[in-house]
Amino acid sequence: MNTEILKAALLGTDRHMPDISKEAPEIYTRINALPTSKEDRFLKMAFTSIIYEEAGTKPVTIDAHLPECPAESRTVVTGQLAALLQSAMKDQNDVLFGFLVFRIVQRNEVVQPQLVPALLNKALERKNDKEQLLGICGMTGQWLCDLNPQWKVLRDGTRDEENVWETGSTESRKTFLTALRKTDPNAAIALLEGTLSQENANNRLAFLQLLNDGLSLSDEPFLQKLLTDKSQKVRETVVGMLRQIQGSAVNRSHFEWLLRMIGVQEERHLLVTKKKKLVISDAVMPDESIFKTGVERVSTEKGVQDHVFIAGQLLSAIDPAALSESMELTDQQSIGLFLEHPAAKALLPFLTSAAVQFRNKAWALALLHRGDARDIGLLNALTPVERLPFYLQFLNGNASNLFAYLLDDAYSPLPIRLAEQLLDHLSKFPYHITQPVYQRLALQLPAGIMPVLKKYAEDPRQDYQLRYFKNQMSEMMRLVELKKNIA
Amino acid sequence: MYVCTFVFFYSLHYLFLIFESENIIFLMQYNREQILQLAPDDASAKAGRQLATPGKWMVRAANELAIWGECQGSGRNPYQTAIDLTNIAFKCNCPSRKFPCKHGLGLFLLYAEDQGTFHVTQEMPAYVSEWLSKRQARETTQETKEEKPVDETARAKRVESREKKVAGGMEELRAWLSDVIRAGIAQVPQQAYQFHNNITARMVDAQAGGLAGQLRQINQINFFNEGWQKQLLKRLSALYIISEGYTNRDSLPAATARDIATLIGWTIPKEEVLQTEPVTDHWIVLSVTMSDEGNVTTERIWLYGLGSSRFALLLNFYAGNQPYQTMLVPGIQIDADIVYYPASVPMRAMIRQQRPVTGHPGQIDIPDSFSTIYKNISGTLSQNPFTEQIPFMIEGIRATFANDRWFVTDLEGLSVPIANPEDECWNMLAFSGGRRFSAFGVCEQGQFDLHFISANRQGIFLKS
Repeated sequence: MNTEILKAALLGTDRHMPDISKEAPEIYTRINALPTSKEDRFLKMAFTSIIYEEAGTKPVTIDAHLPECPAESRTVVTGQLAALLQSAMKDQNDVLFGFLVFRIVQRNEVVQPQLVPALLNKALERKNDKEQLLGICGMTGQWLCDLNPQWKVLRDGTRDEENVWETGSTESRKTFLTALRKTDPNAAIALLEGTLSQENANNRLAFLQLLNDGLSLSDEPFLQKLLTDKSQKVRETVVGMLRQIQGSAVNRSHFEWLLRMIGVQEERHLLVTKKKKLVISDAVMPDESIFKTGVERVSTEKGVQDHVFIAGQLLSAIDPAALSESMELTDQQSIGLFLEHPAAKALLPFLTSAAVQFRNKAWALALLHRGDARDIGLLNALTPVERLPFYLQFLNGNASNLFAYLLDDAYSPLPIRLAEQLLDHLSKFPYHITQPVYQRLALQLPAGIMPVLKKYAEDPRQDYQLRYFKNQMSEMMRLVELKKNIA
Repeated sequence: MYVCTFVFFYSLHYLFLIFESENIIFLMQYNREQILQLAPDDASAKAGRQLATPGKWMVRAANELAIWGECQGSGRNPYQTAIDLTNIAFKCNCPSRKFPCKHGLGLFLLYAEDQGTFHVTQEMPAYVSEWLSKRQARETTQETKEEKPVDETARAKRVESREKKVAGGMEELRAWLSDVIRAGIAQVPQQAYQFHNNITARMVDAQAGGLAGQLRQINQINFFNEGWQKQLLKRLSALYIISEGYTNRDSLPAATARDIATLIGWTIPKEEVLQTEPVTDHWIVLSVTMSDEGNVTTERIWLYGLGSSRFALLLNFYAGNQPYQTMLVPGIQIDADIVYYPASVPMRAMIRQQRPVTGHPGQIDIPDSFSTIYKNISGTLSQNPFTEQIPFMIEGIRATFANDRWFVTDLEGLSVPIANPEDECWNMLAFSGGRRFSAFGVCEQGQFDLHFISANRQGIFLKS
C-alpha cells in the first residue's frame, strides 16, 4: 500500500491515485468510498497507511555482529584525573591535556573507554603525540581503530611497518625513517639510497634533513653522491651535512685551510713575559673548491674583514677539541686566544656554533662567562647543576627561548632558587611570556613554591600589569595544587 | 548527625545502593560533570572550574539547606555566593549576567569535590537566610495563588474571536495541503525551506501556533536522505487529519478533542494543570536535551518515576538569551509532586512541588526485547496517533553497524536502526566494548534515538 501512496504523493493526485487492491484493509476501501475530493481521500489514506506501518513495525534481523573488545589488562584511570582529562579536552586546554596524558603514560594506565573516540580524533590532529595517545587508549583504542577506517591509519605505523615506506603518508614515512635512523642508521641510509631518486625535491629534502641526527662518517659516500642532485636546496643541505661530519673530505679540507689561515705567535709582554697570540692571516686565501662548499668569499657582516669572516665560517664546523689538539693547546687556551683576538666579536657566532654543535664544555663555559651569549644551546655542554648560574643571562634577551629550554617533556621540577628568580623576573615583566607558558611553567614548579606564588597573588597593588601577573599566579597556584593532587 | 544514603543510578534495571556513610552529612548527588552541565556556556564552566579551589574562597560553609561562600573578585568586597540545596538555585552578588555565574559553579564544584574544606554550621549569614526565606515564600505564594475574577463576557468574546480566526486559518491550510498533494511533492526538495513559509505565517496570524510549529518541523527533514518522502507526507497528512479532527471536534471523545486542540495551539493554563491530581514519586532525570528553533530554545527533560513507573516530560521554552531556570541534569533524582497536562496519553508534565531528596534505592522492570517496545509504541499510537516522542527503556542490547547504518540488537537477536549521529554511535560502542548494555531513548518519527546507556555500574549520557 505504501508504495502506491508514495507514488501518488510524488506525482500528485492529478496524475495518479493509489490503486486499492482487494486485499487491502477495509479502512482504505471505506476512505476511498467517501464522497469527498480525491485530495481529501488521499491525505486520509496516507496518514492511515503511515500510522499503520509505524504502529505495526517489527524489529529486523541483520547479519552483522561486531567482535567484542578484548579485556583491558591495565588499570583504567578514574576519579579526579579522568574528570580533569575530560575537562581539558572540552576546554581545549592543550597545556593541561599534555600533562595529564604524560601522567597517565607514566602511571601505565588507560583512559575510560567512553573517552577513547575523542582521544583518537585528537591523535589524528596531533600526529606527534599519536603513539602516546593511542597508548593510553588501551585495548579499546586498538579495537576501535580496527573497526573505524578513519582511525585505522593511527595503527598503520605500528602494525604494518614494512609497508609504511611504500604506501604511508609523508608524515608516517618521516616517522618511520626517524625511528629507523635511531635504531639502525645504516639501514636508513640503505633505504634512502634505494628510493630517494624516485621522490620529489621536497620529499628528498625532508628525508635528508632527518639524517642530521646521528651524522657519521659512514654517511659520507651516500651524501657525496647527492652533491649532483637536481635541486639546489638539496645540494646545499648535503654540503652543510658533509661540513658537519668530522673527517669527511669537505670537513678535512675546511680544517686544513683553517689551520693554514690561523696561527699562534708568541710576543713579549711587559718586556719580561711572553704571551701567546692568535693570528688570522689575510695572506692565505682558500682554494676555489672551498667556496663551492657553502663558504662565503666576501664578508656579509659590516666591519668584518673577509679573511676573518672566511676563517670564522671554516671554524664553525670544526670540533674545538680537534682544533685545540692540532694547535697543541688545551681547549681553555684555544678559546682564550680566540676571545682575545681583536676580531673576537666577529668570531663569536662561529665559536658559539662550534661549541654548541660539539658540546664543548670548555668553550661553552668561556662563552657563557662573557655574559653576552645568545645561543641557549651552549648550556647543553654543561651538566644541569652547572647550567644554573647561566640561565638568567638568557632571560632579558629572549625569555620565551629560555622557557622553551627549561620546560621539558618530562615535567622535571625546576630548582626552587631558579623558580624564584624566574618568578621575580616575570613579576617585573609579566608579558615576557604568554598565558599558556605560565601554565606550562606551573607544572614544573616545585611544590615548595606555593608561599612565593601566594605572596605575588596577594600583592595589594592594583596596576594593570600586576593585575595580569596576579591572575597568572592564582592560576599557577591552582595548577601546582592540582599537580600535587594527582601525583 | 544525619545518615546519608547516596544512590548511584548505574543500571536501568536496578537502582543499587552503592555507598552509605555517616561521614558525609548531606545528600550530595550532583557530581562534577552534572554541575558543569548547569553552566550557561563553556566559558562559565571553565571559569567555574578555576574557582573550585579552597584558596579562592575566604568563607566556605554549608548545612543541609544551603552552601555559601565568599570569593575575592576584582572588586573591593568579596562576592557573596549561595546555593539552595533543596531545589537547586544560585545567588551571587557579582555583576555577571550569566546564570549561574562562575562563582556559583565554582562553589558548587568545590563542595562536590572537597566537602571537607567547608565549615558545617546551622547559622546562616543574613544574605543566605533571607534569600532562602524569600524563595520559600515565593513558592508558597505560587501554590496558594488565587485566580483573579474573570470577566466572563470578555473571555467568551476572546474565545469566539479566536475560534473564528482558527477556523479561517484551518480552511486555508486544508486548501493549501490539497494544492500541494494535487501537484505532487517531487519538487519540494528544490524549495524545501520556502514552500511552506506563507502558510506558516498564515497559521501564526490565525492564532494556530501549534500548526505553525508543525509546519516549521518540515525544516528538520533531511531532503538529501532517502526516506524524506515518507517523512514529509506524514507531516502533511497529519496536519490534514488534525484539521479534519478540528472540523468534527464535537463528535470526538473529550480526550481526543483536547489532544487536537493542543496540537492546534490552545494551551492549557498552568494554574489549571496545577489543580490536577499530582503523582508523588521519586523521579530520576533520564535526559536533558536542548533544541533551537528560531529564537526559541526548547528544553526537554525526561523523568521516570520509580514508584509509578511512569515517564514524564518537562518542557521549557527560553526566548533569546533568557537564562535557563530548571537546574536539573541527567542522572540526578528528585522527590516531587508532578502534574500531567491532560491528554489521551499524558506525557507532558510540570513539577508542582519539589522536596529535599532522600535516598530511594529501588527496582524497576525494563523490557529486554524490541518486540515489547514496539508493542508499547503501537499502544501509544492507537490512543494518540499524533504522539511525536515515545520514551522507552531497554536492557541487554548491543550496538553494531552494517552497510553504513547503526543498529542495536536485543537478546532475541532482533535489531532496530538508530538515529543517533555517528559520533554518538562510536561513543556508545567504545563505552560498551561491543557488549550488552541498557538504554533509555526516545522513538520519534519511527526512529530510535538513544539518550543514556549504562553497563557495569556506569552510565553515559550520549546527548550531553
